[in-house]
Amino acid sequence: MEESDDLLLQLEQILENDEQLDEIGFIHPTQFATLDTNSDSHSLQFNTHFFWNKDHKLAISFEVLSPLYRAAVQKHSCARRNYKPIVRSCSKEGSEEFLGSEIDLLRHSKALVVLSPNFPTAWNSRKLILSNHHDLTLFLNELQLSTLILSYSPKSECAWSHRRWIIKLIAKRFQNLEAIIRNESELVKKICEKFKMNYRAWNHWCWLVSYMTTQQVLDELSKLRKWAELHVADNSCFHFRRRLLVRVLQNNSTGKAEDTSFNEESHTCSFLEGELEWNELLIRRYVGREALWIHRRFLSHCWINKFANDSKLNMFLDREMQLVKTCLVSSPDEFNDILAQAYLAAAYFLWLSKLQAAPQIRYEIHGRLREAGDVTSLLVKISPEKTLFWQSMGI
Amino acid sequence: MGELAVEKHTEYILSIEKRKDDFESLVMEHLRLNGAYWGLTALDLMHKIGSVKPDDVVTWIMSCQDKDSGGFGGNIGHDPHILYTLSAVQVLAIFDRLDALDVEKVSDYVAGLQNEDGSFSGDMWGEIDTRFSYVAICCLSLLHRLRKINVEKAVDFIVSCKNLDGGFGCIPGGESHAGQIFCCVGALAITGSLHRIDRDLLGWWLCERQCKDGGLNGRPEKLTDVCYSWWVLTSLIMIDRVHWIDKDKLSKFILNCQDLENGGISDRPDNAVDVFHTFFGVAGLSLMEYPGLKTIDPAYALPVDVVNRIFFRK
Repeated sequence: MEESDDLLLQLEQILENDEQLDEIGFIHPTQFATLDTNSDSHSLQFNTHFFWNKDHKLAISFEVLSPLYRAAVQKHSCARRNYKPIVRSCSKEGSEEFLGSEIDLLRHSKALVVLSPNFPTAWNSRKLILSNHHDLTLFLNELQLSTLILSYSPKSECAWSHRRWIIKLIAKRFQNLEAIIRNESELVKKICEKFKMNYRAWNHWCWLVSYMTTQQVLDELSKLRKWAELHVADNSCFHFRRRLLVRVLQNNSTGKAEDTSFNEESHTCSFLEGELEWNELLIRRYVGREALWIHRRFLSHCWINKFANDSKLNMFLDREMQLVKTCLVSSPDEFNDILAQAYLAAAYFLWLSKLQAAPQIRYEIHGRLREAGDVTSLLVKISPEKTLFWQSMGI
Repeated sequence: MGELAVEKHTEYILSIEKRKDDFESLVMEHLRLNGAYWGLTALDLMHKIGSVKPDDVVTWIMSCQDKDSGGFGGNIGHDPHILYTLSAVQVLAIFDRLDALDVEKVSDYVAGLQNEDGSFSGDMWGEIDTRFSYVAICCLSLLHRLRKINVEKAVDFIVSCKNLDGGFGCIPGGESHAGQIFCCVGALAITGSLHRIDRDLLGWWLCERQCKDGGLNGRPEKLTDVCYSWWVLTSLIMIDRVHWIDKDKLSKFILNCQDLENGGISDRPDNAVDVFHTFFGVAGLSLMEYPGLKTIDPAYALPVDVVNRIFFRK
């Protein structure tokens, strides 16, 4: 086998040469035989038993991962020691020149994060260099690198936080984030499609909300509906909707006139009621889905605390009672989904009765709960491991 | 199911402490200090810490310290970060070797990471997460240097991450997650601020983590995982609601996740083991007073005798 330094050089040359690389995989040596031949237009020399590069995809054989990693660590460490930050003024337009030490460190740190996506020191090396540059293209390329890493390592905390660092930098120096926010949303959606309930991806999206305009928030809510309907068990998705709704409700209560078409209370109320209606539709269609009922808890909580008055409250509770009653069954011998639905409906109503709300509202809800029958016994029957809990929560 | 295979788990942990050359082990190098905390605390809980020579460990830990900032990296030559700094302090505490530290320097590093709004960054690059709030508060408390930060603001920031479901996320508005909840509750416990939590509401969210198989998950609609035996359980204990879950079923679930042949515990039955899940499985059993294990402190995640030594020895 070649020297590991030589192998590293081959990897780094591929990474440098293919600027639109969008997928990387580590594969078993035997799988190399199944891949198409490498692109003919390759001017690079590399060992085709260990590397494969075509159509902006890169495959690396398991066989060479350890020597590659060790070489990358060693080279990166050396380059980091040799690197001395210089401060550049941001007066000039256009691309900036790189020092030799910067080029080395960028090259070796890139190889290292490709091999070990969660190696924080390597990502930091890149931040050190980028801190002293002002070219927007550089920062966008860095987002591209993070996207590449996330394509095969979607939980990589380093890759996600690197994105946030870049975005904060761009926000500080260049101001216009709308296009970037849009791209980030697309990226997160793509990743969440492939890797369900990826906490880091959704957390990143929640983080982005504070950079969104009201219009972007409303657009997201509307665009995400279809996606949510296709992923009704995705609690993270519904939490994200809640995050957006909180933003809408906050805007209304602080009277932010950022977007005048949506700062009226009646609009917000009907928006929330629309979400409740849609949620009910899904609950009836997709039986026994926890994420849907949890979403309903939040919606009801918000509605009750913000918009309930005597007349509206009765109608609201009538509707909730109606929904809960149709979901309750008395026999725990039913099919799992139906049983789950009964359990979730009962738990939902009990939860409502515990809401922090004005005394007269709580009185109304308690009254309705008694109408629904012995909810506590039903919950104990279905979920006996929580008996003590149900009993302490019961009315 | 049966018993906790203490001997097997001890062997497993000791074997992974030794350097390994396979790629999977190599890509864990950068968090070796965390790994040391998981492995050594698990050993101590099983009364097996005597199998490890403290001097070598202490020397290695100190060489992970970044001399300029005072913080610790995950391994020798790695950049400092608050996460590894806590692990360093915790492991030194287990060996009763906190004297190896320049306490002012380390605590200055941690305290220096607090932001205006009370939150904590993980390192100089500014990522904010409630985990770092816990890490900072736990670390400074163990070093008796909590006064170096603005505790009130730190608490206010944590409380700002509370969701309507009673849980906590990484940042304000982030999804509630059992791991983040442990961090927030632990930090509030250490700073005497548990009154800022609605215990019934949070307890509700937490006890809903118990699934039919007896195990606990970390969020709604997710699979059970042994590590949540720690995070959910300890949170319930700290808010005094642990009677809301079935501890017998949980114990059985954890014991089912053991690899009785090779040692170690996995995230769920019949999966591959790792030191992370081994620690959390043992810690969860300790919280439930499994016979033969040392008691673990729910907030500091260290054996109680270690914590007592720090706070009650004059």
